Amino acid sequence: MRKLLINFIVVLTVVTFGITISCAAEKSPTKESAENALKVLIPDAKILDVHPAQVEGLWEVAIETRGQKGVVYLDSAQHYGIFGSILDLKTKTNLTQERNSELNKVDVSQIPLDDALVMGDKNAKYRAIVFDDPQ
Amino acid sequence: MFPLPMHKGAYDEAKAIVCEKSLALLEDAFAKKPLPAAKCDTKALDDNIKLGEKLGIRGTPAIVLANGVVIPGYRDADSLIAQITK
Repeated sequence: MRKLLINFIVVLTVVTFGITISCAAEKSPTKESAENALKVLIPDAKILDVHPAQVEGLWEVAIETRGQKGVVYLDSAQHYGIFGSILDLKTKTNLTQERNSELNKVDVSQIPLDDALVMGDKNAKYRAIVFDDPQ
Repeated sequence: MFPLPMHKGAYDEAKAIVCEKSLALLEDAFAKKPLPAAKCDTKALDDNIKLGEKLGIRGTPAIVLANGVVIPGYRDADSLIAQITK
């Protein structure tokens, strides 16, 4: 009986240990851990945000490097990185591109328009500001 | 106007255009016609260059939509209209 009990304890320990290991692997990446994982490839990247991506099991990491912001993806174990686009096949939208343009939005009120040339209807409902070179 | 440093002469052309606020001069520049010298002195271009650095704008054209989204590079009219009215 005692031997059986010891065996049981051993089994229980293994089970507990097993659970601990799998939990560790599923741990969510943090800004610090994502920075560590990514620094081999992009050492100057500043990590802005980490949160679950639209694809299950993937994490979206928003980074800033040389003034440009964008997202890359990591798996939970932070062993694999994905540098590319996630597409929503149903709506045919590029989710990565949408996030990138959201991140790189500028404050339009900072742009002085006093010296700007107006093309088209100056009272138009929709407007866009174009930075352009004459050449 | 946002003259890029790598375009030789673009700064002076941009200055001439801004001084006159002239779309005709801009069209001439696009058509590679020679432009008259700038008729004023303005710091608008230097301010724009600084602003571009601050906003992360590096190439032209860069199109800023009303909601702040920056579209880097050229878009054809249809796709631009689709994005503006979205």
